[in-house]
Amino acid sequence: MTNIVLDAGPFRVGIRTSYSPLLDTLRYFYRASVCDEVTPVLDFDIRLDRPKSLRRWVRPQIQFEIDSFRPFEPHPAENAFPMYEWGLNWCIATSAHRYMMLHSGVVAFGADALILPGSPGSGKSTLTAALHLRGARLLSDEFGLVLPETADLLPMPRGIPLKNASIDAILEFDSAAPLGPTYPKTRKGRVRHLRPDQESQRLRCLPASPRWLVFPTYESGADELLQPLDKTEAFRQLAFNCFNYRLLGETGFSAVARLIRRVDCYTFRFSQLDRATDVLTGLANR
Amino acid sequence: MAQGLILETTKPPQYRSKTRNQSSRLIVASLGVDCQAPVFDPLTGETHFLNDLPQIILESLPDSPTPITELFRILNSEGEEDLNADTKRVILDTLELLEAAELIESYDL
Repeated sequence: MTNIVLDAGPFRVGIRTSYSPLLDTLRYFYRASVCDEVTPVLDFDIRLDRPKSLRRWVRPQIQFEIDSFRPFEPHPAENAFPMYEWGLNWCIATSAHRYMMLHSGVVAFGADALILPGSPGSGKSTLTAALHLRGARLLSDEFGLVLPETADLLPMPRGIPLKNASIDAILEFDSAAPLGPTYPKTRKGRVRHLRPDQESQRLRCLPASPRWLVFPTYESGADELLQPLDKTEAFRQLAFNCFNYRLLGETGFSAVARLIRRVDCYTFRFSQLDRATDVLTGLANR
Repeated sequence: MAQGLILETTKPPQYRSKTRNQSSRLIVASLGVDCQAPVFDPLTGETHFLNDLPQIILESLPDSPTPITELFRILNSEGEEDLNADTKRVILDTLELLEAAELIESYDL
């Protein structure tokens, strides 16, 4: 059994496993996020191992365990890394209510954060990945973590899961994109993760100020169109894209209001990543 | 004539603002001019989006049950002429919406 401890932004994650392919993949993605403290205090103590059953020999599986609790059925062992990522998402989503959690990608240009909230299929992850490949600092893909009292965005740079056609779109955009292994059969189809760059991992403790809030929509064949969005509508959509808005109550309401006051709000229709990244990096250069 | 019609054909109830203590007061987030204001109700945990008229009504409505005619008078306190029928209709519709949102309470006469 090997222990590895990662700093995932504000969370310290312990991973115990004897499944060496998982360790190799974790080191490929998060070499710059390994915590070297001797006795770290963990936020999440995760164990990923193969269940002791006949399947161990016939069709190997992997079991996700957090604090001795097994929230999911075992998955095929070859999907250990996506399972770790989704499992950690589950841990954060169900417990990290100290923060407001937006379903959004977040990148930063200098100290200014660009927030890209979106439902599945909106192109949020693909666009976040493309902006990161163009040099924007990656704060997060799945969870935009907001400190409620300031509305600042906290980094949690992790692999960006690209699904199905998004994988090819990113490789077409940048053939040298650092992608991890292909997971051909997951619950979400074919998945590959984009590795966050070393700089984003190094700056994982440095928050960014909310500056732009852009709601993307991927529309095949459409021209890129960035349009200002009324702040009330932006409030409504952002609250809708917040995992724990209702749970946070007044804290969530005030945090969304604080954030909305600090950002320029837009909707953004896009189809081509090179043009889309030009438009959005253009915001930062204005 | 239309003005009288409203008052004759409906039984105007009395309205009052919902009883709230310090910790359950409505919280309004101003986002700038020409914007609806998000309003958080700590009693229900709901967020509402209100334009000017419902905000004015919420601010003007007394804590004690207030007949609709008195509310018209309060809302028109600076007006030189009586409210016309259309305006009264809009106010009545807004009161119904505010009541449905549990932001105010009504009492039948």
